[in-house]
Amino acid sequence: MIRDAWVLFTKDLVIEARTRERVAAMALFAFIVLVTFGFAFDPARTDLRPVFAGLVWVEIFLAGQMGIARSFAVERETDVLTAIRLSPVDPMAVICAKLMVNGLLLLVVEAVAVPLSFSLFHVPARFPLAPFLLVMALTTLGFLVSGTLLSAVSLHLRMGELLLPLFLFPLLVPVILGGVESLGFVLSGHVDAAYGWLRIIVAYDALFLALSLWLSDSLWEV
Amino acid sequence: MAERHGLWTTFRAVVAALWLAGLYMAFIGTPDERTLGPSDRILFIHLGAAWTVAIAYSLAALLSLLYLLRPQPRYDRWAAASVEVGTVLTTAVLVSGSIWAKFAWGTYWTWDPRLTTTAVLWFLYLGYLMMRSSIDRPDQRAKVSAIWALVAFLDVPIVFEAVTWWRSIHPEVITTQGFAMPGSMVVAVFVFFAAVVGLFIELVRLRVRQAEIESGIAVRKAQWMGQHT
Repeated sequence: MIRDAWVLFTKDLVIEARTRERVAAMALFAFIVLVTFGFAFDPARTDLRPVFAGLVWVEIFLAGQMGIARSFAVERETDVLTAIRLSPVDPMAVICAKLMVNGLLLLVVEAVAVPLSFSLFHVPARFPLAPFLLVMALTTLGFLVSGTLLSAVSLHLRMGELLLPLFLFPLLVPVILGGVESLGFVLSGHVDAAYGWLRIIVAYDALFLALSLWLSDSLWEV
Repeated sequence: MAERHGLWTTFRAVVAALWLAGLYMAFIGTPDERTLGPSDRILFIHLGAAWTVAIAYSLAALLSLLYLLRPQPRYDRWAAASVEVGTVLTTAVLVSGSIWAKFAWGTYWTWDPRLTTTAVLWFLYLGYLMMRSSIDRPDQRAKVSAIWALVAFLDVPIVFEAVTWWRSIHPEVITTQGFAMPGSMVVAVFVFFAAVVGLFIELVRLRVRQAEIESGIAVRKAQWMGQHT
């Protein structure tokens, strides 16, 4: 299964490396959202520190949702899904591969968008690194897992890409709240307060990871 | 068949009687609230609908799980009907709650955990209904909806937990000391609850019947097309 997932992962990676469609669109969109926030809230005259965590996550989730919506687009447009289904590949491997690809794309987007946000919103980047990375990783995982699951679901819908955010964002409420609050606490130096929130995010991550793997069979049969 | 029909007629009569009794108790048989006056009478429909929503979505999740384990169209029909009626009731909960909140708290909306969770619940299940309407093939629609019903249902406790952490002013009706209201109101609440559940069952049954007829027509149509082409 791990080998299958790896093969599918490298396949997607090669396609992405050749076209750079998704990662470029996502990173650029994150940047555009950031600039839009800049116009809307005017960081030169307003202190954005109290709402900074929220701005960062909205930026990442919007850009991420755009890329995740196209997780299975290549397969659908070229009808490769049928081929994958016919081949002796564990459906779980498909989900795992997509999770890894989407995770890598999100990582790139975050690596660009987060430092830019700090500098453009004039927020001093002084925080303990380990808790910061932990919050980023766990929140991103929650977004990744539910987003990938729903993008597999929306594959079967008419206008699925359009409908995906309508399903994804209500589902993400615990991750949005947890991510914003815990990042806010880490940035303001109250690391202890952040751990309580991380428990909710971990519960969410675990539940949706388990659901995705358990449902992976059903996702392909339809 | 005739016997079953008679049974349903009796059931409907009982539900109608419960509604009349509930309305009588809610408007005439119970006292005004000490500070809020008559505005608290909206509580009966609010609680009745809220508890029935819990039943509706739990039922839909259970039926969806059954469908994923053993795909049979009837599970899907009952789950879909349950969500449809449940979503109408959720709308009633939100609207009645808002009207009451305007009198009691001076605002239509607060970011209290229960309110926020109910709103998220409403979005999640509106999503379910939108999802259904954008898939044409019945078996595909059933499977995708079942997945979503289960995912949404499991998300709700985490949403509630998260929003509670975030902030918490909703009155507790059921506390560890029992009910925070006079006895005549408790009776009225339960009569109303039974009335709403009865209405729920009746509406779900009607929707399931309608879905059965619809799929029957689709099958006949396909057969007819097969014979005449």
